[in-house]
Amino acid sequence: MSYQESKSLTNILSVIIITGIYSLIVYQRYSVGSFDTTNVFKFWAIVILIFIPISIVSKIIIMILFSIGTAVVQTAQGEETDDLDFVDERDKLIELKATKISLIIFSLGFIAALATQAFSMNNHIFFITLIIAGVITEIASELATIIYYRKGV
Amino acid sequence: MKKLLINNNVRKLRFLNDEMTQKDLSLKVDVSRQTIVAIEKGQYSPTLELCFKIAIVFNKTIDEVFYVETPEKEEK
Repeated sequence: MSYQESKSLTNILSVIIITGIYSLIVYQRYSVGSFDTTNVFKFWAIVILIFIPISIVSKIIIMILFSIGTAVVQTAQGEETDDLDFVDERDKLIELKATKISLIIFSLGFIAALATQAFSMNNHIFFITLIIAGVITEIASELATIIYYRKGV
Repeated sequence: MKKLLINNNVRKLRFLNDEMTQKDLSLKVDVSRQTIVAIEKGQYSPTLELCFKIAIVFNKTIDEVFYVETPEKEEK
């Protein structure tokens, strides 16, 4: 498995783990009544605004650990480590295609979230659908990246 | 028009050029080794600029390095 493929796989795992743990914590606090849930929009604004920095910092830490781990493994195997984050035209093309896929999937997720409101569902469902769409988007984008690296573009 | 099957002689030309490694070629044309691997396997069609760069490294013209593979059925 190449560096880019491992990186995408790490991204998928980190998205699942970070979102999973955060969702669990929020759900537990929500269950015991730690949040003011009288205003649904305020509740979700707080939940999402806290999640953004947590997600960014966690991903940075995971990617640093991943880069160190990869460099250590490559050095141990006697491989050169100088071009780990080198990006060329093929990488840019794959990134572009993965971004296109992620935009399509998130758009569909957004439409699904709007549909929940059109069918007068609970406001919580709207935000949960958006978050699920975000997670699926990220996973699909990384999976597409892996497939493009494996099968070619 | 059908999608063209573009193939190349990069692997052959590397060996004819003092058994140049994929890493050496990648450094000369400023791409990653994985991209050279993908080009050789036919998994990636490089941009015109990269085609020129590779041809220049081997001191060949582009059509000596890259060619369109014509299916035998169409030739008949």
